[in-house]
Amino acid sequence: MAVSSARESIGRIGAGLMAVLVHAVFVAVLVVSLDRSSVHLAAPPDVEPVQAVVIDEARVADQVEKLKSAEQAREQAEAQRQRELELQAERAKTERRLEEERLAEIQQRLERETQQRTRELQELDARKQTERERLEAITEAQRLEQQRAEQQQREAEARKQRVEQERAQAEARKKAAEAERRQAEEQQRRAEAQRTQAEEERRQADERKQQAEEERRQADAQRKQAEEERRQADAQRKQAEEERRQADAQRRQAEEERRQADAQRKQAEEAAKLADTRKREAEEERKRIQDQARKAREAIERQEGERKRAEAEQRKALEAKRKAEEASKRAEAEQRKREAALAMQEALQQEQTEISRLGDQLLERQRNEYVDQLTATVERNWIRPKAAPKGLECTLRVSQIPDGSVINVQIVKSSGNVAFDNSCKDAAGRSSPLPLPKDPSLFDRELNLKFIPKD
Amino acid sequence: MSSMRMLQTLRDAVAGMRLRRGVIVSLWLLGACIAASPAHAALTIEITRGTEAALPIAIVPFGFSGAGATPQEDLAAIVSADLARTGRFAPVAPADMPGRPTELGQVDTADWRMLRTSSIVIGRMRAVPGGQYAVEFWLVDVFGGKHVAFGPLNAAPADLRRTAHQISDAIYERLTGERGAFDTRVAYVTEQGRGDNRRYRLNIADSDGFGARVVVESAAPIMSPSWSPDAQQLAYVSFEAKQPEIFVQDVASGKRRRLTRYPGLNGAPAFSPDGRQLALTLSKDGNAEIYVMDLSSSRLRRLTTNAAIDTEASWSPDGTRIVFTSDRGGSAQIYSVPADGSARPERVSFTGAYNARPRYSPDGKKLAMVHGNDGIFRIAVLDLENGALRVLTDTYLDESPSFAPNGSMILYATSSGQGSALAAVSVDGAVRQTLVERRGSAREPAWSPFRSR
Repeated sequence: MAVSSARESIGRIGAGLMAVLVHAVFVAVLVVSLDRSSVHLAAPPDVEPVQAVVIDEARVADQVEKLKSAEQAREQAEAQRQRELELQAERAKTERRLEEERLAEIQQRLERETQQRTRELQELDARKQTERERLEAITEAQRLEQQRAEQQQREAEARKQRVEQERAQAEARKKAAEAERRQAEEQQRRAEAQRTQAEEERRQADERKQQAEEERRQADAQRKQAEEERRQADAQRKQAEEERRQADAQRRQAEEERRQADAQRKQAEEAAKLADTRKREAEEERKRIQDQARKAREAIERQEGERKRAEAEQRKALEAKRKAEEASKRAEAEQRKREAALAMQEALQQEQTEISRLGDQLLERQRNEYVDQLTATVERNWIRPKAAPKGLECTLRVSQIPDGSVINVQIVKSSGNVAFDNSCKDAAGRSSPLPLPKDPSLFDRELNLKFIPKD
Repeated sequence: MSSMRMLQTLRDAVAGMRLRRGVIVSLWLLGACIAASPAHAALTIEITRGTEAALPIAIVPFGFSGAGATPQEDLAAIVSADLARTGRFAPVAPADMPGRPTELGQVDTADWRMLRTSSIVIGRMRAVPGGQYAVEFWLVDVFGGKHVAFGPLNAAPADLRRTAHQISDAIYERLTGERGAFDTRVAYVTEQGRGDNRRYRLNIADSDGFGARVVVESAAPIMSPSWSPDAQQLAYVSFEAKQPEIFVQDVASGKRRRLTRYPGLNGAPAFSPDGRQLALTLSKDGNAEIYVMDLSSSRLRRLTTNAAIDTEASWSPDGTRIVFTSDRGGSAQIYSVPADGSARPERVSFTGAYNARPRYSPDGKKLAMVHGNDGIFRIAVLDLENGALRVLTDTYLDESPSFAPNGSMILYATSSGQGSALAAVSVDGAVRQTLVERRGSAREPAWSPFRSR
């Protein structure tokens, strides 16, 4: 739009210039005509040859008066014309001034438009700036979003740590239980009555063990989850391994507890020495505890086996995947090989076709060259008889030896004109030795020469 | 991606291979092709352009052996001139010859090939008892390596020129397939001197203009010599008796007899091809008309009846028609009429304002004539088959055309400020030459028929 308006204004300027030019020409014409009129003014004195021989004074005076008034009238008319011309010049000047003013106006408008354009450009810049800022804001928002995501991740880690802390507290509680168990043993040593308390405490210990197992199960779940996460990222897998190590630690802890339980059993046996009834019960109790421990161990082993199985399966899956990938790579390589072989075969075939084509071409070209050379040679050597009739035709069979020497010429088809036939035979003989083909295979002991003048 | 690259590499490799081994493989393939098709057709070359020129030929100076005088005539030179005159041969000058063999064993064709001469003629003369010469000659085909032997011809020293012309005929016929017309003669009239010393002579010369001898000499004009078909007799018009008379004269003996002495015109005699009749022009009946005279009975038969002039009769070779000049149409033109007068004459020349003195070609297919235009008279040939008229000469006052008996040339007289001379032109107009230069003027030539051999 700005361009079209600029073009328009340029057009207007052009028109203005044209107008000025036209006016200038007009003024110039005026000046020239003024010049000429002055010449006219200068002329009269030369053109008044008086040849009258009249003596009448009054008539002369009258005549002179008349001439004077006529002269005066002419001068007045001239002055009038002069004034009109000046007026015209003045008008032209005024119009020129007006034109200049219009030009100035156009220029001002052009400047205004330029300013307007500049303002528009500035606005555009401002809009660009805003856009840039908006983009920055978006970038900032994205950055914040990322930070939030990181924060969440950190929180998730914190939660995980909390769980671990809880697990640590549980361990602390377990230690407290041990202390209580030791108290119970003391009580066992003292009295059977105290044994119930120990059993109670054992039950509590069992409960805690179950709790630990529960926690272990939770850890396993977490581990599974971690394994899942590990499939997504190695870091998570390491974490899962860390969890597994922790689980091991728990197992060791459980064994420790078992050992402690044994110790308790010994205490109980000692107590049994004090009281057999209690001893049997303590033995049973011990067995029961052992059984429970065994079961716990078995459970842990089972879990471990499952984990190992899972890992094996995962390895198997990975192996299978690797194998599949290898197989696919192999297949791809095979395919490429096949394609290459195909392409090679195709190219070879093309080459063979090309070679045979080139061979044909070369043969054809060489044959043509040979024919051209033979033609040129024989034509150069053919002295056609003068005054021979038109339309004669003669064919010769020419025998040559490998050096091109003509050893025999035989008329295959006579023209019926002896001179013509003889001239053909002479041409063949005169052409000996004939040119040889580039390729010896094109050489032939026998050639046909067909003389058929074209004129 | 990589397979694409691989393909590209492969192509490059193949292209390289192609460049390196292309030619070798192609040659191998060529060989295979040739070997595979042993029974291929012989190559046929079409020759469409040649140089139309006189055939280079060498007539080597003949050798001479034996006792007696060395021959006066250079036979080889006469033969060379004969052949050159036809315009169809370009004899090699003796100075340019690579050798002067006179026997077959001396001919080294390789030397002659260099000259592009396709034929050479060698010969030798031997003096034989009786003052004669025995002439033998050979025509050698330089490129074909073959030769033809001629002779021996026995000739008296005075007949050696004729022997040379006979040699020319033999060579010409061998090389062109047409009978030569060298061993023929020409008759012509000469006019010499002024006033009372003016002499008119009827001459006979060899076809090359040499060996001229006078047959008739007179103070009065002699006109229109005409050969009998056996080339033994000449018919002519003589004014020796102050009026035209037609005579027939034996060339060899000089004996003559007067054939006609009618009032008025007695002119333009022409023997019929069988030699039994003579066509002539007589005005005994008031106007120049064509008559046919039976030579054995001297009986006349009028052939034309017309108020205009009819004259200059010529027989067709088969004797069935007679062409003549007539101005019955307002100007001189050629008309044709059956020799037995069974039909009215019909006009045959339509080109130009003046066509006169027709002569049939030996094959009967053409007419030679004087073709006039604005006072310029040239020799032209009218093709009777298609009516085409071809002007053969470019001089101003040419007259009396006469075909050589083999039809290859036309003999005529051409006049200039200095007088008139005999000239010959080939039928196609390609070769023109003045036959003999003689002091005075030679006019009304007539080429003789073939002589008996």
